[in-house]
This record gives sequence, structure tokens and C-alpha cells, in this order.
Amino acid sequence: MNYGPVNWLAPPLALVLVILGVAWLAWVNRLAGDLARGRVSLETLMGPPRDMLRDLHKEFRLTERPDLALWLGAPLLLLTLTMAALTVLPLSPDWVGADSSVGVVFFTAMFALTLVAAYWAGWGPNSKYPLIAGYRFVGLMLAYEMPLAITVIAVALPAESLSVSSIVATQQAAYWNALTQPLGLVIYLLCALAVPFWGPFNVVNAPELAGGALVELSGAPKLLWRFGQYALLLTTSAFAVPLFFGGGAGPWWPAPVWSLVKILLVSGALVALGHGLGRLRLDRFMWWAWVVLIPLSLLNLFLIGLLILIWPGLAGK
Amino acid sequence: MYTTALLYALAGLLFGLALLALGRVLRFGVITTEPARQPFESGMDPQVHAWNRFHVRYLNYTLIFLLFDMEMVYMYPWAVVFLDVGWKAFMEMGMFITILLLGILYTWREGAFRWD
Amino acid sequence: MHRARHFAFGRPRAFPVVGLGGVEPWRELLLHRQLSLGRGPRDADLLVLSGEIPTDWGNTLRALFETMALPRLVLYVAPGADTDPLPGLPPGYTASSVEGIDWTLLWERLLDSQGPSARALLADQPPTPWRGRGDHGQGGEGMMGGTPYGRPMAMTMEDPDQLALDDVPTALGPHFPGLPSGLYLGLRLQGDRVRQCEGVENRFPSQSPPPGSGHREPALRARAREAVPVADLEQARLRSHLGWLADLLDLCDRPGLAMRLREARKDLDSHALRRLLDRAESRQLYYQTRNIGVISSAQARQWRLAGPVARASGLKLDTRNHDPAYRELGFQPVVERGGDVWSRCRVRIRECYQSLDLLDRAGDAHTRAPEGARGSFLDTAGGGLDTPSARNLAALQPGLAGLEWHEAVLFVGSLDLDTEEAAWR
Repeated sequence: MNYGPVNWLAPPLALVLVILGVAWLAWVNRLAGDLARGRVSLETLMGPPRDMLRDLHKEFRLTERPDLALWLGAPLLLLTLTMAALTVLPLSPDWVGADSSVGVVFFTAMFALTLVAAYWAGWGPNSKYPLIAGYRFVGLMLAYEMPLAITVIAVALPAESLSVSSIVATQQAAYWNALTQPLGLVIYLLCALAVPFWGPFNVVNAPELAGGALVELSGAPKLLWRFGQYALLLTTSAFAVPLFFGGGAGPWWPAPVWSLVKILLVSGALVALGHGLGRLRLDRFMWWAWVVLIPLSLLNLFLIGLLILIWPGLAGK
Repeated sequence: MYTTALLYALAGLLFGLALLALGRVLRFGVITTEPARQPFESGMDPQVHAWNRFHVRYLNYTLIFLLFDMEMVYMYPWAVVFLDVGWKAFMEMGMFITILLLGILYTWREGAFRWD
Repeated sequence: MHRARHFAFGRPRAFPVVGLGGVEPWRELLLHRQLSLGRGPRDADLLVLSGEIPTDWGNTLRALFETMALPRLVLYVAPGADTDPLPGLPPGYTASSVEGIDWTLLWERLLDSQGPSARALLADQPPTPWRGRGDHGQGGEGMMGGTPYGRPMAMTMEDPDQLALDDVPTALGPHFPGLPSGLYLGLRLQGDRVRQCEGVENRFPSQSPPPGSGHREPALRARAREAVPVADLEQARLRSHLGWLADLLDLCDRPGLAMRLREARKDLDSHALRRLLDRAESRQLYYQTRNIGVISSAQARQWRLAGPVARASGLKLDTRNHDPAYRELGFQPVVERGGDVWSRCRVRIRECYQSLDLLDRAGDAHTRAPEGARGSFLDTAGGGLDTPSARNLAALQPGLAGLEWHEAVLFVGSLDLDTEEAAWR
């Protein structure tokens, strides 16, 4: 899919795939919620399109003195960063937006910047409950950013490269990182839930804050905010596929198809996992993240470092 | 690479703007009076603006976060050359990380890992 | 376009305002498949007024309705309701019961773009008009302590950390989704921590308990020296506790279990309830609620707390303990020692199990113990009524100081305050 130095076809194609992926996640979320309530019916199928249309038809009401640039910029920024991160996601060795030699650093940076979007969503409307939600999310980000970065570095270790495509190539020559670094996989999936503030980490759209950032949002910006959140969840779980699950590896089907199937499975599983887990307590979680999670991710790093030094075969040598 | 990334970002931005525009076209109606724009405060009239000098209580975490963020900067190139250099790289990074872990231990013992 | 709109708003979002006797109709509406629960009023389609709304709520509700985004409608559900629920609110849809709602008509009124609800109610005036000094309205007071365009900014206050940061008056107010309706709590926040609770106000009007007070009725009749069947008393207690638990689980972000509890609450199927209570009393809830809002037994005694709140702090206060019918059934009051939110949850859940057990064995026993779900109904010196919820209100002001936001919300939820009952005299 490379057409010279700039790949013109990739962005629209990626956008279409993101839209389809978000639709998939919206339905999985609806199904999981209805299963938890014991109310699966035709409404489960009709629900997501109904909600989408409702948001499009609902008025977007301003608050008294909002910072409109930040308030509307929040969902736009979220979506922009998500799409930018997808540049380095390879669906196959040929199907990649632009394979950079520092792809890992790039997408980690994009995920880190989503903090800004969540903060803007809290600050923008000039309303008390969203403000509290935004500040609490900044605290959460401080907790999970480090385990995420360390775990991603541990994945880059066997591949001797920060390029996502090389990580995939190494896995296809040796073993999947899910097998050699199970601890890293668990930590990564936890962070993949925390970046888009999903499930137990939902401090931004929190019920105990009357909906948090969702309190003052209505109409199309609300739809865009939820879309951005789903797209971010899709992206964070999508990166688990080339990093841990061997990218497009698999029999019979071509690599891009396998990649997409795995992405849908991982993201669907994470969405469903967000239901019924309640909410974690932010103060305890921050303590736990620094005292338990970071040492665990460093342990993971040490283990994989040790393993590939002793058995270079694990790194495809 | 960055041109492509910019194009991806642009695609996302344009889609977002298109969705906002669609909402503007399809909306049911609009009310712009001041009382209609009152922020929600459980039914009460807000006494003050929400913007304030917020007391964030995770100050201690931000400092140690900065510490580890600088460590990450060193770990990125280390990861690339690790296998080539071999055990020496392992030992050196081991010492670096142990020193930082001692930092976490110190912070914990000093009681800074409290939410306030 | 009209078909698309009709489809889009086919399951309107509701924002509840619960008035006198409105708890049960609202709970019934929650189970209804035609309605979905929203968060705040801005994104809601229906302002659901359930039960008889006190007249002095008019201004608040008018302001609340005005902040709702279009399309919007007032849904008024109350037995014996007339067409105009409150002067000042536009006519919406009125029904005397949940079954009597004609949804097609409701949708028509909701989507009527020429209707009275689609226009602004209140005059277009800023809340604090700007008085500048200059000819063009420029100049004037500064940001701190003055009134610039709109509202003032928050003032600075010393903080336990010796930082001079802003002290924000915030309302955890009468209509916070998930907390009891009509309970106004004026908090002063620093960051997301409550510095102190300045005002506690119950917005329900003071009156004597009306006939047919729902699940408080058996206990009230017992207080009037009537012999009430044990089965009635325990069923009322069970219904009340299960409704409270479902609301708390909604706040703890477990709506699936909450909905199942509400369904099982309708017909009190013992087997299903036991399984659901097992799932509710989980380690998740424990970790989420332990060590929050601790009330020691000395404080419980000093503030004269009642019912499960007092029992969770170690006080063995239960009028059923002295009742011969209960003693024959081998009743032991459920007491916990922790005094935190988890203990209060645990006491109520264990009482649910105990009630299910007593229901199986009670048969035709009768009792005179005036023990409602929230505590005992006592007599005051002047012959009036001292309700347990009124006594538990005393725990709010001292208990909320120093709590973080989510702890404060859980604390208020764990007290299980019935604001309508707390206003009875």
C-alpha cells in the first residue's frame, strides 16, 4: 500500500476502519450492558444507531461562560491524536500508514497527549462536576503512564528496534510476546483500559459526579466525545495485536484480515470487561500503581531481558 | 513519516468537524438565553464560576512521575542496542533501575504516596 | 426526517425529580423499557416529576427545566394529578400511573417543535448583571471579590497544606442523580475534597405522615400500638433495603446488578434475591467502600443515629429485640463494628438475608415493634413523630468534613436517608 513517500490512500481507509470499529464496539458495549441487566432484546440491536441519531438531533446547549475552543477542541483533539497514533499501526508488512523507526515512542506519545483532551473536556464547560472529573483524570494518568511505557519498552527488547513492524517480524520469526511476556500483556491491557478511561477507570464520565464530562455535553459534541473514547479504546487495544499477538500472523487468511480480526476480538473483550467491575478508588489505585504495578512492569522488563540474553532464539536469532 | 501522520490527524479532524456540522444541521432547535445556559449544580444556582485554583492532591506523584519519565528517555535507545551489547547493557540498566526503585521505596517510606 | 426523529427519541432519557410519594412510581419507571436513565438534565429529554411536587420547588424546577436541551418535555406521574403540575412549568404529559402512559402521545408532544416546551421559559437576563464603571460598561471590580461579567470567582482560603487556594462553594444539591431527592448539602470544596459542609436542608415540607405511606406504613401502624403482621414489616424492610442497594450500585457504576435487583424486588423471589445479594456483597464493593466516612459508636450515640446506621457503628439499637414475637422467632439484631460505608452496606445486606429468613418462618405472627427499614419511629415529648431519617440527618454535617468527593457521595448514599420521611412531624 505504499505509493511513494506519502501514502495518500491510507488515511481515508484508516478512518473508515475506525468508524466500523467504533460501531462494533458500540454494539459489544450495548450487548454487554444488556446482558448484565438481563434485558437482551431487539433494543440491543437498535440501541446504538438510536443513540447516535438522538445525539445528532439533540441541541448542543452552551453553558454560561465556557471556554468554547477547549470544550469543543477536546473531542476533536481526542480523535486527531487517535488517528495520528494509527499511522504506525501495521495491519501487515505492506499495510501500514508510515512505518517509522521510532513508532513505539510515537504512539506512546500520542496516548500520553490524550490526557490534554480529557482535561480540556473538564475545564471547557466551566461547570463544577466536569472540572473535578478532569483533574481526577490527570491524577489517574500519572499512575498508568509509567507501566504503559515500561511494558512497551519490554516488548521492543527482543525486536531490537522501536519500529512496530520489526516487533511484528520478530514475533513471526520466534514466539508471540503474549507467550514470552504474559505479565507484560496483562499490564498493557490494564493500561489499554485506563487510557480511554473505560470501565473501572471511568473517572471522566463518572456516575458519582453526575456524569462528569458528560454533564454539560449534549448533541453532536457529545456524540463526538463518545466516538473519540471508543476510537481511543479501539486504538489502544489495536496496538496490543502487533505488540503481543504477532500482528497478522495466522493460517489461511491474508495478514490484514487476521490483524483486523484480532483487533476486533481484543477490543471487544476489553469493552465487555468494563462492565460490572465497579469503579476503583483513585487514591488507592495511585498508590497501588506506583508501589505494585511499576515494580511488576520493571520485573517483566528484567525477565525478558534475561531470557533473551540466555536464549537468543527467543528474539528470533 | 510525519507527513503521513499529519494526513491521518487531518482525516480525524475533518471527520470530527463534519460530525459537528451534521449536528448543527440536524438539530431540533436552539435556545440561547442566559438562564438556559446555567451549568448544572444539582438544581441550585451556582454561586461562583467553576474555574478556580484547584487543589490537586497528587503533587507528590507528579515529582516522582518526572523522575521516571526521564528514565524512560534513557530506556528507549537502550532497548534498541540491548541484545547487541549483551550482559553489560543488562547490568548497567539494572543498576540504573535499582537506584530509581530505591527512590520509590524512599518515597513510600516517607509517606508521600498519600493522596493528599 | 420525522421518522428519523421519532426513531431517535424512541427511548427518551429521563432526569428524575422525586416528590411526595414519588419514590415508588419512579422505581417503576426505571424498570420500564420505554425509558432510559440519563445523567444530568442537559442531555435529558424528559423531566420526570414523580409524586406530588411541593410548591416551593417551583423556581428550582423551572431553572432546571430551562437548562434542558431541546427537545424536552415534562412528564408528571402522580396519582390524582391534574394537568398543570406546577405553575411556571410548561404543560407536558401528565399521567396518574406508570401503566397509564400513552407513549405515542408522549413522543408527539416531545417532538412538537412548535410546542410550549420548545421555547425559552425565563427571560434572557444574566444571573449577575455587569455593572462596569465606564460609559461602555468597561472597568469595574476585579476578579476576586467583585462581580465581573457573570458570576464571581471563588475566594481563596487557607488549606491544611498551607497553600492559599480557592474554596469553592458547591452544592451536592436537591437533585443530584443517585442521591435522595430534596436534600440540599452546601459544601465548600478545596480541589475535590470537602473542607466542610455548611448547610444541610431538607426541602420537603413538614407534615404529618399521610395515609398509605408505602413501605413505612407497617412500622407506623406498629407505633400507633397496632398489631402488625411480621411478614408485612419484613417485606417492607426488604423492599426498602433492596431499593437503596440498587441506587447505591448505580452510583458505584454497576448498573447491571442494580437493574436485576430492581426486577427481583418486584415480586420478592427468595431464591433469586439470595443469589443477587451474594453477588452484591462482593470483594469489589468491599474495596470500594471500606474505611470511608467512619462513624464511631460514641459519635453515633451522641448524634442519636438510628437503624442500620447506628447498628453499623456497634450500637445494638433495634426495637425488634424487645418484641415477644421476634424473640420467639429467634431474632438477633445485625450489628457491625466498623462504622464505615462498608459496615452500613453489610448491615443492610445481612438484614435482607435475615428478613428473607424471617419471612419463611413468620407465618401469622404479629408484632408491635415500630422498626422501619431505617430505624425505629419514636414519639417526641410533645406527642409528635421522631423519624429515623430525621435523626440520621445529624450525621451529615460533621461526617462530610474532610472527605473526598467520591467518598462524600458514597457517604450520603450509605446513610439511606428518606427525605420525605425526615420531614414528618
